This record gives sequence, C-alpha cells and structure tokens, in this order.
Amino acid sequence: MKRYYKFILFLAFIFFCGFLYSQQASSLSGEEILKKVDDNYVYDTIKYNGIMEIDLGKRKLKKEMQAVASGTQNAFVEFTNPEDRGTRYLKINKDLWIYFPSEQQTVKISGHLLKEGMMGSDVSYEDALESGSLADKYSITLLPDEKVDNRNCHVLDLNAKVKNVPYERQKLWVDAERFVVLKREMYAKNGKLLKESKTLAVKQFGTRWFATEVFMEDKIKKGGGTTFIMTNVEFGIELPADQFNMRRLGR
Amino acid sequence: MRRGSNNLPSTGTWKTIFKIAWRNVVRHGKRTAFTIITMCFGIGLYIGLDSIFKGMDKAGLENIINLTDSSVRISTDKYEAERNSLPLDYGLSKIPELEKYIMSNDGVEAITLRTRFLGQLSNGMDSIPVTGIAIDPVTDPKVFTIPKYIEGNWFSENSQANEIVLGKRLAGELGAGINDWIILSSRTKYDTQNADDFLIIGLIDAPEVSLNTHGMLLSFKDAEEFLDLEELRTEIAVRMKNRINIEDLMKDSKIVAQNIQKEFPGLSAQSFEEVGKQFLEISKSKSKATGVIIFTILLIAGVGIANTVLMSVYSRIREIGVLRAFGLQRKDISKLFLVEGAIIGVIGSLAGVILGIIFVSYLIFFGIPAEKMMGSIDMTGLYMGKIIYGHWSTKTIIVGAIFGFIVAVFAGSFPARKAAKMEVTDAIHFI
Repeated sequence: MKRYYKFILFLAFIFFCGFLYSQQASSLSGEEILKKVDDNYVYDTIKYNGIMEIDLGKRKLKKEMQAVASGTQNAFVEFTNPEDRGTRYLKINKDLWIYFPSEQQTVKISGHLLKEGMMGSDVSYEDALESGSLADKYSITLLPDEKVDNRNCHVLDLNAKVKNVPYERQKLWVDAERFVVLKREMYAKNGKLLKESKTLAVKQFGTRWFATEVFMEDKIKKGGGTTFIMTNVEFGIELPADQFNMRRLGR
Repeated sequence: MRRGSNNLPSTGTWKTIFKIAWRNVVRHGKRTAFTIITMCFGIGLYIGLDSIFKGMDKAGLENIINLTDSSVRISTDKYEAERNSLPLDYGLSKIPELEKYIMSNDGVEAITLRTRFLGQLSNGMDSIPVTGIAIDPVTDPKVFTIPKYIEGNWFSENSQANEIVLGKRLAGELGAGINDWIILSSRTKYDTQNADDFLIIGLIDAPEVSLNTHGMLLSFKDAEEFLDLEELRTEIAVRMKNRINIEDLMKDSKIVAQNIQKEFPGLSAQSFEEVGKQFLEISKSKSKATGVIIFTILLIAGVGIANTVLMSVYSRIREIGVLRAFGLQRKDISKLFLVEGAIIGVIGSLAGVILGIIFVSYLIFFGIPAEKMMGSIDMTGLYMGKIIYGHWSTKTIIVGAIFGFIVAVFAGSFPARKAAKMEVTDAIHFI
C-alpha cells in the first residue's frame, strides 16, 4: 500500500513538473517566442550547399548552388547545376546583383524585378532579401497552441503595423521546443492566403536548431511549389575580407 | 529611209522602229514573258508591301490615339524614366490645376486620369502576368474608344462586387468568360502583396493586339482599396479634336505637349508621335528592308531584260546588217533595241502595277489576319491590329511603274550600244 502511495505521489510530481513546464512555455510572449526564433535563425556566418527543386506543374527544374552569407545582410551564391553553372548572386544589404557567365554581364536587380520569382521559383528576390526583425513591423498576437507534424507549436498571428511590408498578415507556427518556424502562411490585405511555407527537416547544430528543408507554395495557383534543401551546413566559418565584393562576381 | 531635218528620226521612222521592236518582242515570246513576269512580280511586291507597311503605320498610330495612350500622354519625369516597371511611386500632383490648364489649350477635346500597374491573373490553376489600368469609367470613354470593342458590359456605378474588364484572348488563355470570377494579385502603392476575386463583366476584342492579350481594366472605385492608391494617379490622357490629316493632328498634339512641359516643369508630356517613336523607327527600318528586296528583284529583272535584248541582238546580227544597208543610222539601230527594252519595261511595269493594285485591293478589303498569324508571340509595343489592312498610295504605284520603266530602258541600253557599233559588212556576212 505504501508502495502504491509512493507511485501515486511520483505520478503527481511528474504531472506537476509537466504542468509547470507547460505554464512556463505558454507564458512566453509573442515577442519572446520570435526572439528565440531569431536566436536560432540569426548567424554570424554560414556556408552551405543548396538545392532548389522547382515544380512548375508541367515541368520541374532543379537548381544547385553553393552559398556563403554573413548575417542576413550579405550573401554570395554561385549556381553549380549545368544549365546555370557560373551564375552568381551577390546581396549586399538591400541590393542584389546577378552575374550571367554566358553574357559576362552583371545586372542589378531592382524595382519590380525584385518581386519576380527567383530563378523561376515561388520565392521572390524580395522574400530572399527580407531582413530585419518581424517584431518591428508587425504586432504579434499569440493564438492557442496547435500541432504541426505531431509537434506542439506556438501560433503567432502577425498583423502589419507599418505600411511598407511585403505581406499584410503572416501566421507562424513555431516549434514549442526547438523554436524553429515549422509553418508560415502569408496573407493579402483582404485575408486571402497568398503563400505558404512548410519546414520539412530541422537539424541541430550545437545549441542551434535550424530548418534545412523548406517547401514554399504559391496559393493563388494550384499545384507546384519550390523545395529548398540545405546540405553541408557550417556556421561561424571564416570568410575572406573581399567575399562580398563586386569583383568576386565576374571572377 | 526618210530622216528629219534636225537629224532626229521622223514620226515615220519612229513608227518603223517601234514596229520592228514590237515584232521582235513578240517573236521571242517565252524569253520576254519570263522577263516581264520577274518585273511584274518585283513591282507588284513593292506596291503590296508598301501598302501593308503604310497600313500598319496608320493603324498603329490610330491604336495609340484611340486605345492605348491617347493623343497626348502626361506623367511625371520620374515615372516616365521607370515606365517599364509601372511603379506606383510617382503620382501626379496639383491635378485640378493641371486639368484646367490642359483643357484651356486649343484643340483639346477631353481628358481622363489613369493609373497603370503590373499584376498577375489567376484562374486558381495557372497565372498570367498582366498590365492593369485603373480608369475612371465615366471620363475614359471620352478619350479612348475601348467601350466600342467590349463584349459584355462596361463598369456600373452601383456595383458592389469587384469588377474587371479583360482582353478576350487573355480571358481565353485562362479559360474564363463573362460572369466568371478571377483572382487578381498585385502590389499596393506600399509594395504589400494583395490578391482579390474580381468578376469579369466584359471582354475587350479591340484592333490592338496587346490589349486583347495582356489588357485589363478596373475602375478607380475598386482599385483605390485594392492598390491602396490614396488617389494616386500616374497619368493624364488627352483627346485632341479630330483632323482629317493625321499629320495635322500630330502637329496639334505636339504643340499641346510642349505647352504643358513649359508650364509644368517636372512633367513629361508626350504626343502620340513620340509615344510611337520606337514603333515608327521599326516601320522605317521595314521600309528600308523592303527597298533592298525590291531593288534586288528589279536588278534581277534588269539583268533579264539586258539578257533578252542582248540575245535579240545576237540572233539578229544579219538583220541589223540589212537594216544598216537600207540606210538606218547607228543611232537608229541603238534606238531600235532601246525601244525593245522600253516595250518590255512598259509591259512589265503595267503588269506589276496591275498585280500591285489587285494585291492592295485585297489588303484594303480583306487584310491579313495578323493576330492569328502571330500566334502566341507578344506584340506589345508594336501597336499592331488584329487584321492588318493595306493603305492605298497612288504615289507608290507611280514610283513603282516609273522605276520599273527606267530599269528596263537602262538595261536595254548596253546591248543597244553593242548593236549600234556593228559594221554593215561584218553583220551581213555573219553566220
């Protein structure tokens, strides 16, 4: 009988701890959750091999690339798949240049071109260039937790508080344990769903959890979508001083 | 042989020379026919192609005036510099003042405000890029004739739904028709992505292909909210009073454009001639290319004439000797063969003119179905009609005929000189 009481007490303790943990987790504010997401996402430097699988419905494209980046401000990408071999992208702050090897020409992407799909994908240059804290641009409402792929997620409803944002409203499903965005929905002004991204794979690098496979879908048209896969990911690598220099583009 | 007092052949001699020349032309019927056919084809093609290009130019300018840009198009300098991307960043300011000034100019009949933007239309399966124009449904038809080409309805003032008018071919590509709903997505003035459902109320089937393939209109009432316009207007379109001669309308439009630019620095006012500059440049290049083709064809015809007359000279050397023995001078022999060339030239030119007139008549009444022929090729900026109609040009017909005749006479002059140089005795004894 004594044993039985001990077992009941043990179970009660476990439930209590669980309750305390869940209380602590849900007591995080939206801003704090986003901060934790940023802590995972923001890096000093990164190097990876990328594969972009673009499903256009009638045909499929596969783009391979090697990329290095410093924070969210600077990035250098070189495509390695046969059709685009030698094509290079250089991003410095909010500017983007593309070098085309066949024409040996560098073109600056600006204006409406930034809104076009990158290499024919569902990811616009603007999506790729988006930087800065979401908390500055959106007011955050924490919705009840939901499950995504059997993982408990905090749901954040982001509504634009400034006018110059690419999406009026965004909804994020953040893994409650690893603080990685597992699902993201982007809405138009009138509430129509425009795009949706889903994280297909998450890996741990030291203490950091990082999404290494993401699927992005344009919800205005049916079918298709773009899957982005990152392999050989390395953080905190040393980069040459001229890594993000225009001269590198034409080399 | 009788000769005129001033060493020129008398009417009788000319008559004889013409008779002999005509007989020779007829005698070598097949050879002559081939030469005449070449000339006829060359001149006919020249007249026909010129008619097509002139027709395209006229239709293109009319399309600019009536369907796409109006007689004078006004926007800011900055907008004009970035017009290709149709930015929603540079709106016109002091619009009432500007409108009042424009209307005070001589020859201005009506004005309307427009805002162009880039968007994507989707039927839920596929999406197609489009050039959207937000318009005022009341004033726009006073400047543009688009409502004349609408199947279905024009915008209603009291409609609750988002309404849209689409190019008929564009709607066809999306598998949509009148009363269908379609998703329009675009960026607002603040670059925020937006998308909404729109009801197709009308389809544009205009003589301007780009309007049918990429055109999309919506009223300011719906565009205000959808694009967050906050009354942003990117251009003013002006209709000038009609003139019979398009050159006069060009001058009037140019004057109004200059006046506006002078009065409002920072604005870009372009007459339809300037708007269509690129298209007219292409047209000029086309005319040059046609000139080269026609020249080559007539050169071939010229060589054919020279060859025909030269063969005629060689086959009639003994006859030349006899004619010389009868008293015909060298000059008369030369004239005989020149007349032969001229006869071929006249017949060839006449045949060419007749063929050209038939070709032009067909083009004027039936035209060429350009839209069908071009298929899915993007013709934006070409201001090309669905059907290209020909344009009648008496000048071109006269030029074609005279040019053909000159080429023929010139081509006949070489063998004529050669025949004239022959000695009587050598010619008579020639076997």
